[in-house]
Amino acid sequence: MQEETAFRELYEIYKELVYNLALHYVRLPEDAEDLTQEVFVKLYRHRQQHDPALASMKTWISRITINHCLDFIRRKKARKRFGVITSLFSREKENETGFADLQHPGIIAEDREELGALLDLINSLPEKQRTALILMKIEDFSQKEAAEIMNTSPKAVESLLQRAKQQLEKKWVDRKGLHRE
Amino acid sequence: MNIDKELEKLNRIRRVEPPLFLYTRIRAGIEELPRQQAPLKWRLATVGIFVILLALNIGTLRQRYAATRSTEILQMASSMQLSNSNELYHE
Repeated sequence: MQEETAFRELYEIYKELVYNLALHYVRLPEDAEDLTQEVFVKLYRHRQQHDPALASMKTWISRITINHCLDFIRRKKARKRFGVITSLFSREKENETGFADLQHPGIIAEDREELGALLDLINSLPEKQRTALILMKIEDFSQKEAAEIMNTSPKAVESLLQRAKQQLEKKWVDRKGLHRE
Repeated sequence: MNIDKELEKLNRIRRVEPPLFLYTRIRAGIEELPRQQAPLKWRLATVGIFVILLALNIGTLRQRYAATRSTEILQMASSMQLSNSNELYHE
């Protein structure tokens, strides 16, 4: 009973963090719900493995969530390579960039097109750059916190962010050029 | 194009609350988990104990079987008045 209350408390504290992180990665509320559920079940199963001396609860949970989201995206991409038929039954529609159409409930309708394009580009970045950008530019984590979550140094995070920005700029220009043609 | 300015637009993304039913789903997911298994060390120790017991049992059975066999042979030898003496004739 006491364990259940403690778990409920943990859920109440971190549910928003897990759900929103998942949403930034997968963009579909249904997928984000599935991922949030899986992350909390995983947290419950491995609750004894958290070592406060190594990482804070927030860092630990963020790390598990991000790894879970990246695994989910990798699995999905692998399935897509083989599954022409499954795409017929897929619950999401893809846009021209190959990502699911933006259904992020945190983005209002007027911003959907503009932010959707930006998120498309962010999602096309390599995993580490994407994570650095999501953590620092959307979730407002400090460089130090992002470094802890990504299990790297703050300097490495800074460099990842710089490279992410350079790549985004290049992709943005290419995209604009393509649209003009 | 200033990428920092573009990235500032990401601040317009609002934080979202997960749906209320999600906790119930999570609890259901937890209840579906298989019962917690004993640690590997304990499982290996149990298997080890079983192997030792089995080996001891087999050893005891074989010893008993060998002992019975030799008694039976001796009984048969004595009933047939077979002698293992080196003397050819009972002189």
